[in-house]
Order: sequence, then C-alpha cells, then structure tokens
Amino acid sequence: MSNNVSFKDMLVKGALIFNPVLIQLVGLCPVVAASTTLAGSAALSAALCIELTATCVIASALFKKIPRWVRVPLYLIIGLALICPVLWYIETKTLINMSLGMKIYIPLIAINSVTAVHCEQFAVKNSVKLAFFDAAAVSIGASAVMLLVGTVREIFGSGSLAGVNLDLPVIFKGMSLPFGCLILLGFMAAGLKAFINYRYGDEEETEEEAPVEDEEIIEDEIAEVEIFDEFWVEQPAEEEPAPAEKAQPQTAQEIQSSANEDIEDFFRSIGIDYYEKGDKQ
Amino acid sequence: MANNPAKQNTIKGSRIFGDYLIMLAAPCFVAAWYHGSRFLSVAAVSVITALFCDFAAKAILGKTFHLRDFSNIFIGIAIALMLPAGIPLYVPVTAAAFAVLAVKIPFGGALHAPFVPAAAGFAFISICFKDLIFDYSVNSETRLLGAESLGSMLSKGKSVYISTANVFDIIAGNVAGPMGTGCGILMLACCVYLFVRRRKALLATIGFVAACAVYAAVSPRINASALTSIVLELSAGSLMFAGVFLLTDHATLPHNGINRVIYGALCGVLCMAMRGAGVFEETVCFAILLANGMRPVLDAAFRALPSVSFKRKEAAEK
Amino acid sequence: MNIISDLLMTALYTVFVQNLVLSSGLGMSEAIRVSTKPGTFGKFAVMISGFSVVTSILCSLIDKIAAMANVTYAVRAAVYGGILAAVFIIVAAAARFIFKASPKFLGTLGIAALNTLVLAVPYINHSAAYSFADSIGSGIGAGIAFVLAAALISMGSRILEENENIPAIFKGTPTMFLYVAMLSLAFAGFSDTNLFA
Repeated sequence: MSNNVSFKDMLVKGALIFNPVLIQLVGLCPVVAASTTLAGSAALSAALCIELTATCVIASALFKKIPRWVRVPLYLIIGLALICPVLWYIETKTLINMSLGMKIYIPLIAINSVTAVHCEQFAVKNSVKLAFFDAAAVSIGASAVMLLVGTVREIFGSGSLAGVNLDLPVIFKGMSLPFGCLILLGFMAAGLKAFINYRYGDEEETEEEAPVEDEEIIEDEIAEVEIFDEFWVEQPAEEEPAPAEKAQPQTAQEIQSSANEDIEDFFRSIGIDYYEKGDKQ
Repeated sequence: MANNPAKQNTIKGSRIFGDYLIMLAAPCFVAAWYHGSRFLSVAAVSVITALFCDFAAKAILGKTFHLRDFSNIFIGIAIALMLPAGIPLYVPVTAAAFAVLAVKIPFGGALHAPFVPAAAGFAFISICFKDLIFDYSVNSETRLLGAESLGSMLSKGKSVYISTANVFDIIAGNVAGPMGTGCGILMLACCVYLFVRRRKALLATIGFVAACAVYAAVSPRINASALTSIVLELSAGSLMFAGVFLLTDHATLPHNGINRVIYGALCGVLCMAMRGAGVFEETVCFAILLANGMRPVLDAAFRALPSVSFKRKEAAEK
Repeated sequence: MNIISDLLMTALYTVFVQNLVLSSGLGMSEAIRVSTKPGTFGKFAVMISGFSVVTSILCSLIDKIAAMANVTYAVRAAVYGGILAAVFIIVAAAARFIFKASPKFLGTLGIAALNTLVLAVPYINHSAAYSFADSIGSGIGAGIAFVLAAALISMGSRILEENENIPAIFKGTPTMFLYVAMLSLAFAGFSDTNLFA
C-alpha cells in the first residue's frame, strides 16, 4: 500500500471517472430529492463535504479494529454529531430562513450511502492521508453534480437563480420533481461518459450502426394466427435470451460491479488495495 | 400456429406506425372538423418538433435519420390529439421534444423503448402545464356541457343524466375535451382496423376497457347508476384513445396473449385508481407508463408459473 | 377497525400515492443496489418495515413528551438518528451474539436499517401529524415501497440489458437513470408535489 499518490490523480478518478453519483449511483437521495435550488444544493454540498471527509478520516484513524456492524452505525452518529450543532446554530442563532425540506434533508446526509460506501470500502483499509484524499475527491465530485443539478433545476423548474427571478417565459415544474432530476442525471451521465471516452480514449468502445428502424424486421402477430388459438394451444417456452457479450455494463449489478472493479483496478495500479477481498469483518 | 417456424410472422417497423397513421386519419379529421386551423397548427408544430429532435439527436449520435421512420409523426399527432384547442404552441413542442429526446432516442428507438414515448411526453406536460392541459374553454361554447369536460365533472363528483337526447353527443365526443380523442365511435372503428392488422395487440385494449368499466361500475365517483358511471368514465378524456393507440405500442406489449389482457387490465385499474386518488383529471398516460414499468414483472411472473397445456382436441391430434 | 383501516390506508398511500423511493427519492441508491439481488426482496421488505415501524413507534412516543413539542429540527434529527442507531445496534448485537448471525446477514441488516428511507419515516410521521396507527402503516408501507421500487428497477435493468439498440453513449448508468425517471414520472400521476415541500 503506497502513500505516494497525488491528490490530483485521486481527484480525477474519484470525482470524474468514478463520479459517486453519475457512475457509482450512490448518494442519490440528496441530489434527487433536495437539490431543487442552487442555495439548497450549496448547503447540502457543504454538509456532505464536511461529513464525508471527517467521517472517513475518523474511520481510517480509529475504526480499523472495530467490527463492521458496529462501525456502520458509528458513521451515522459521527455525521449527526457534526451536522446537528451547525444546523442548530443556523436555526436558533441566525436569521437564515431554511425550508422544511432543508431542515430534514441536511441531517439525512449523515446516513448517506456515499459515506458508508467510502468509509467501508476505502477509509478503514487505508491510511488517514489516503482516506482524506479519497473523501475530498468524492465530495468534490458529488458536490459538483449537486450544484449543477440545483442550478439547472432552479432555472427551469422555478424560473430563478439563487433566488433572483429570471422572468423566463416558460417554467417546467417537472424539473423540480425527482423525475426531472433523474432525467437530468441521465443526460449528465451520458455527457460524462462521452467526455471520458473522448478525453481518456476508450478505443474498445466503437458503436456499431444499429439496424435502420423503419426497415427493421421484427416478429409480430399478424392475421395468420387465430386469436383464440393463442390462448389454448401451448405456447413455446419463452427462452431466456442468451447472455450477450458484455461490452458495456448495463444492469445495476453490472454497473456496480463494473464500477467497483474499475476502481479496484485503478487503485491497485497505483499501489493501493482499494477493495480488500474476502473482508470477513 | 405461432410455434410453427413456417408461419412465424414478421413485420417491418414502418408498417406498425404506418398502420397507426392510417388509424389516426379519422380522429385527425374529426379534430380538424371541430377545431380547424387550431388543431392543424398544433399537430404541425408537434410533428415538426418530433422530426427535428430525432434528426438532431441522430446527427449528434452519428446515426442515420430516415424520414420513413413514421414513429415521429405518430408521436407528434398523438400528442396533438390529446391536447385542448386553446393550448399554446410551446406545450406540444415540449411534449414532442421530451418524448423523442428523453424516451425514444436513449432507449434505442420507438420499437425498443420500454415506455411509450407519446405517453411520457403527455405525462410530462401534464405536470409542467397542468392548468393549460385541462383548460377546455376554447371552442366549447356550442358543446353539450359548455366548457366543462366530463373528466372535470367526474372529479368533482358531478354527474350527467344520460338520455337518448344526449348519449350520442357523449359517445361522439361533442363535449369539451381533448381535440381528437373524445369520439368513442371512431375509436371502435380504429379497433376494427387494428383487429384486422394486429389482432393480438387488441387483447391489451380489451383488458384495459373491461377493467375500466368494471372499476367504474364497482367504485363510481358519482352518485349515479353503474351504466352511467361506465359511459361517462370511458368517454372522459383520452382514455379510449390511449387504450387503442398507446397501450398497443409494440415495444411495450407483453409477449403472451393472456399476459396482454392482464397488462391491459392492470393499466385500467391503475388509470381509474389515479383518477380517484390522483391529482390530474386525465391520468391514462401515467397509468400506461406505470404499466410499462410493471410489464417486465408480469412477463417474469408469467414465466415463473408452471406450464399448463390446454390443447384443443384437433391441435393435439395434429 | 378504524385503527386497521387507518394503518392500511397509510401503508397504501406510502406505497402508491407517495411512493417514498420513486416519488420522493428516499433510499434510491439502496433500492438500485438491492435490485441486483431479487432473492433478497422479501428479506428487505421485512427488515425495512421492521426497522421503520420500531423507529416510528419509538419516535412517536418521544414526540409525545412535552419537551419535544417545540424543539428545533436539529435536536429532532439528533434524537431520531440516535434512536435508529440504537435500534440497529441492539438488533445487530442480538443477531450476532444470540442467533450467531453471519457477517453477510449483518451487512444486509445494515443496508436495510441505515438508509435515508428508514430515517425519513419518523419525519414524515411528524410533519403529517400521523396517529400511532398511521405511523405503523407508514413504516410497513416504506418496506413495501422499497421492494416495489427494487423489483421494478430489477426487471427494468434486465430489459435494458437485452436491448442492443441503445446508443453506446446511453448504455449503463444513463439509461438506468432514465428508466428510474420514467417510473418516477409514472408515480407522479398520483402526486405531483415534493415530499416536505
């Protein structure tokens, strides 16, 4: 395990190539449910950065000998211990008017899956320095997505930016709802994928031209089949499709495992045992 | 039989949407008859947007754009028919763009998308422009109930006494509502065409309409007879239109005949439940999307069932 | 009978009208992760419902204390989070030492208990002023909503895998996001507002 890893390398991989939200699909709750405005996204990002970094550092320094089932609730307690006093100060000692959603979603950051995943899969298996680098890189990656999503959703969903009315002729209320965010994340993930392919060159990924749609021949049920025969005559068994060559991860499992394997390979290539195989803790 | 390779049926993708376009001619004629240039402009804008978005997206992705891909025209016209006459033109533009860019293109085309693009487009604008989508005040002065649609009345628990004097107006679509989806008689004619061309697809429509009718009879939203409730619910909004044109979408139909009936019935139940518990006057597009999402579960559940053979005598002898 | 009907109505509301995962985004990452293991759906439904119900009941009881009436959300968050952590530690310790549960089971227990969905349920009960029966109903509904979402995503990911026509740029996470977005859009037919709006 090497400590000679630059923060820049960790940042590129942790924030960009394996972006926690867009590639690893973790930490979706605050992004999807609460990042509806730029200010809200900024608050959530700040909470996530502080909570994730502190928890990862503490986990790396102190929790290596503690069983896993005890560690996981400790992340929640640490997160709450960090977030609740700040939230209490803002609620009682300042004039900042927080929405009900923010008052609830900011503490929920403490139980976010980003924290659990990165503490368990990296921090407790590596040095404090690397844990800090990893947490900082991941925080930046997640925060960038949150801020971008919050900005776009506020502009198109509320017609304002940072609370300033933009007087847009049309407002799309759907962008403020979770599905609007998910659609945005879908296109951002596609854009990120295209950028990574362009920037870091994935020669293996060449897209074949799909069959032209309107010329495509597909099976269908045209007039020759008597309608009621279909009911009463035994149908040929629906064969499970043959497993296709997995050029791209597509199922959630593949996405997760592919992302994990890629992260593992990357960190191993730079001398870090990112995922410890056969963790029996 | 379906399992005979010699009779394994195949079809060109363009034929499916070509059939839909032929079927759409009748509702388009009715919409143009009632609303004239309003409908034509909305339909034109919607179709052009769908075509342009498809063209632009394929240009960016490096794919070939073909005008013979009729799905764009179908999406544009279907969305236009479900809209009210007074709709601003940016609404159909939004719906068509959403249907093509967020559903059709990312999922590999209209013949492969797991969700019906036109339904997704309409659902999106229902949320974004709720007040505009269900405002039927334009061109409704001479209609049976004035500017109030059947869907609006039903959501308020108000009923209409159905008699021989007004029943034809209701089933012919002479009430305030979407521009081209209210005429139940035309929808039946479209069903006949579909029966000739893709009869098995109609199983979903049968299940859907039956479930809606049963739900309306069992759990009416109005204080009226079961028959009145059924007639009004089936005539309200775009229910029948969606049942014929959107629910029968090739890519989203289950593989098995019985499963298609169940799929249609599930969609019908969801649609009626959403009408009762939801926030929208017209919910059929949301119900179709939800049924689309549940379709793989239905298929998997059906595959998991033990195989039971009910061969007919002559089929068994062969 | 009123209690049971309240409980069932709240559970149904939580599953369909305001599906906590697909309509509100709570526990979405976990639902996607769990969707890869269809065999565990039943286990997760029971576990999430169990933790949600127990946490809801305890939080409801704490909320009845006069001192909790006007506390800030920061204090409320600390109390609710502390209760959830305590419940998890007690259950996990019992499973570990009394029932000799495997580490794998304890890991599953952790995913089921410590997620945004379970911790959000007491907030929902509080903000909606739910009764005791309603709180139990929302806890049960949370588990069912989670498994419904996981099942829909699981089956959806299979048909995405079979679809060879998806453009390369959209394969993988982009289509997964868009698929879940369409499910979320479908549930918006029941309710078009954000939770805690």
